[in-house]
Amino acid sequence: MNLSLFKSWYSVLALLGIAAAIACSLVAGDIADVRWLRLATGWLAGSSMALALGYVLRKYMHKYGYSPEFKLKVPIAQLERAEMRLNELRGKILTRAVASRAEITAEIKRILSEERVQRVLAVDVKPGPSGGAAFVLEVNKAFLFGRAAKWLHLHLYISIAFAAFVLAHGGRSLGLDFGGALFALSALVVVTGVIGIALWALGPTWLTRRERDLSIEESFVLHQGFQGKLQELRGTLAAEPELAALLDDVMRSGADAPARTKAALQAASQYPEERRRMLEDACVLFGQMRRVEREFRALWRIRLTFMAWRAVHIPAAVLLSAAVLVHVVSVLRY
Amino acid sequence: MEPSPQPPPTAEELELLFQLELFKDLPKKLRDVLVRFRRYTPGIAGTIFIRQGEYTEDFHYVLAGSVSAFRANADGKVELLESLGPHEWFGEVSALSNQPSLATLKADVPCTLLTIDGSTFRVLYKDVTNAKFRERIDKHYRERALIAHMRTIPLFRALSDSDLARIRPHVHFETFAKGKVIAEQDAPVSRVYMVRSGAVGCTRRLRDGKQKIVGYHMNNSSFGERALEKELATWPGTYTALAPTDVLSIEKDAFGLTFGSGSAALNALQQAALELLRADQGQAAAVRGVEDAELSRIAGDDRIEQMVRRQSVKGGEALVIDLQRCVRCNMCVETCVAVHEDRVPRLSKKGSRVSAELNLATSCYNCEIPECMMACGYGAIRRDVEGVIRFVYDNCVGCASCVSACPYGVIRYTPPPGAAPVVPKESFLEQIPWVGQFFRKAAGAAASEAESKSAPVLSARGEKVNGKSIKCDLCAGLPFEGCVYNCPTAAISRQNPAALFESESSRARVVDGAIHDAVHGGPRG
Repeated sequence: MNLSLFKSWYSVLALLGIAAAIACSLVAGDIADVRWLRLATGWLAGSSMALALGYVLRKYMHKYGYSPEFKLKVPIAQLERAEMRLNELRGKILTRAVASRAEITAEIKRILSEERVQRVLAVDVKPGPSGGAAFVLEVNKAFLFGRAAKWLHLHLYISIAFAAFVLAHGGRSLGLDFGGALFALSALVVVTGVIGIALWALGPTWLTRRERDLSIEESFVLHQGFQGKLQELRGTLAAEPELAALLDDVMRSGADAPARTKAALQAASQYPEERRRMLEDACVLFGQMRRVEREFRALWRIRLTFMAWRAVHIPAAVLLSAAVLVHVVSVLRY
Repeated sequence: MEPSPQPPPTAEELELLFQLELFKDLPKKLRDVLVRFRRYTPGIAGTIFIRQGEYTEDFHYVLAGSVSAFRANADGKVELLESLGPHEWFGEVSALSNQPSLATLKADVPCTLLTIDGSTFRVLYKDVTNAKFRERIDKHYRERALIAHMRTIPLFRALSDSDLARIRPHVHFETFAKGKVIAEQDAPVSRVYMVRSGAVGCTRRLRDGKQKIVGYHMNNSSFGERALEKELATWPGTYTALAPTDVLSIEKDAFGLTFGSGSAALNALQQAALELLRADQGQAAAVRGVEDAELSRIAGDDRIEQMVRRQSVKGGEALVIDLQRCVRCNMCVETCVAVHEDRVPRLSKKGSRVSAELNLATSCYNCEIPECMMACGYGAIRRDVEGVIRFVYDNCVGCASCVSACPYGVIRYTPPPGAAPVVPKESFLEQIPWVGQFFRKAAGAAASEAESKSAPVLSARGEKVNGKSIKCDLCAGLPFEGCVYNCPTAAISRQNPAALFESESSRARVVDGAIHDAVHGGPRG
């Protein structure tokens, strides 16, 4: 089970949000009567939702190559110049020409900025080993906007806080109106999200346990390979329409495949050895392909189990975003 | 620096070039190679050509001026190793061993160097018709660099410089192709070997006939220390080159003849050898003559076996997927596609399993022993100062030598740049379900566009390009490594394979650490 999905400081933020929402409800009674509180919870809910959507935005901007981080790319020669100068600095640290952490940090800052790679590289200064250099420099990528995993934590916990704010914002006036629909949608999105994250924590373990001989990727690639080879053989057999028809019959078979294969091979016995062999090979290949396909399907079903929540979560989230937009515009306008 | 062809030389320059002692006997074809890829590196006083600890491949020949080699020791003191004047050279050790430089090379006065990239240097050095060049390089190495090199080998640390100078004439240079047996199990140990570059695996044949890998040796480590024992010793296993390997060897008798039996130097060597043997549990167990069954129970030796079998001893950083975290969303591959203009992913999740939870993805390890680079004869693969293997695509002709040399199969072969892309790049609008079809080009238009681009392509060196090799470039120049950065569950990370298979009994780890300490003045940060 992947518990790291839940370990985040953002959980504290979510707890504070929930506590604040509960406090509002307890203190103010019916929130509908307290205009500023209603506005405050509304804005809080809206901002939480915007932050939660940030994860989605970040994800797709990277996936399609539109992230501003792509624009920060620097030529390799520039990077290497900076790395050479950092090596010089390592030499200076070793010979004690630069001794204090502050001096080293200032020097690193100067090198990175002069070589204009300060947004691409990040250098950590760590204490060195005894008997060696006083400090060692560890060069890493800058990872400017933070890893997607951190954004997922934010997405998860801020969405929980969002649900609390929405509840507080609606107060006791929730009914079968637009507000009620908004609340229902919010609940649907958050609940499917929570179920989803729990499935993401458990699913990989289920799948990995089931991947005994082949991984899901391997079975997919192998299946594609078998399919290609089978098509090739089918093309060669096309010269003998009757044999090709026998192969097609085998390939259309289901649970009765062994019987049909046997029948096809018997029917092919009148053909020359070479042609018959080809049909035999094709049948063997087909059998292997079926086995791999079964394996792939079994693995795919498990994957589907822990990914299916997205089929509800994503459309509901799109609807919710649209509904919130309409709600905000209508409140501001009217 | 990227190797690239240079403008043609004048007749006068040519004459001067081949009057130089080192190059005067070059055969015609190698003269052409040298002329095409030579370049001149000028430097004012104080110019640093190579920094200690940096990966460098360039070979430098001093034409004028003088260059000094300095080395900063772990205690912070800087030691002057030597001064090189006209007609001397440096950089050959790094070019051949793929190891970081052991010293900083700095111009004393304004000077001019003739510089040859590592790939061209290896062509000149390894060509069988060019024995004189090799002899001169080896002679120079023996005279000037061998002692410094031997001092990095733990076995010889106990010896003084004068003792090392005495044993120096007895050192033999040998090269073994990948898979070649260096020493057979149970044969008498007659030599001490030192790995100059490459890797050597030790396999022990058990009583039941099975083979068990009990250890491995990488750059700057030694084996065969048992030759220093007084009694006749035999090899505890069969030693085989895991990659193209250069070794130095010294005959058993040479030690006695040089130092005399019972001498302090010989005693110190024997003591160092004993300590090394103790450090290596696998060998120590063999020394104690334990039963094979006991040998196979030695903690961690299965890990060594896995490391050697999976060639992970070649080092670098593997892309590791934690399968307990990976939700198979494919974001790593999709981001990899987004990062590269040709839309071909550099990683495949289909890799090899280390355990039930960990999968080594098919992506470049940036090996410490880069077999791809050693196999490339076109200067299309180089190593940057940090040790990252970089492809110089302009020089690649698509010979695919690197593809077959890579032990992990992480290099992909793609059509030459002029040919139609493997996966045509789709715009965002084209990717929208249902609607996208209205934005796609007609099949005929796309085909004619591809055809118009398919003029013959030449590399920067002028050879016909049949294809291009591509591999993970660690998202060069970008502030992130796409796959690691965009994994929503933090399932993917870069890890040293040795750390994955970590075993306390692995000598290689100790030796590797020792090299790193010697070069950088401390363990890896």
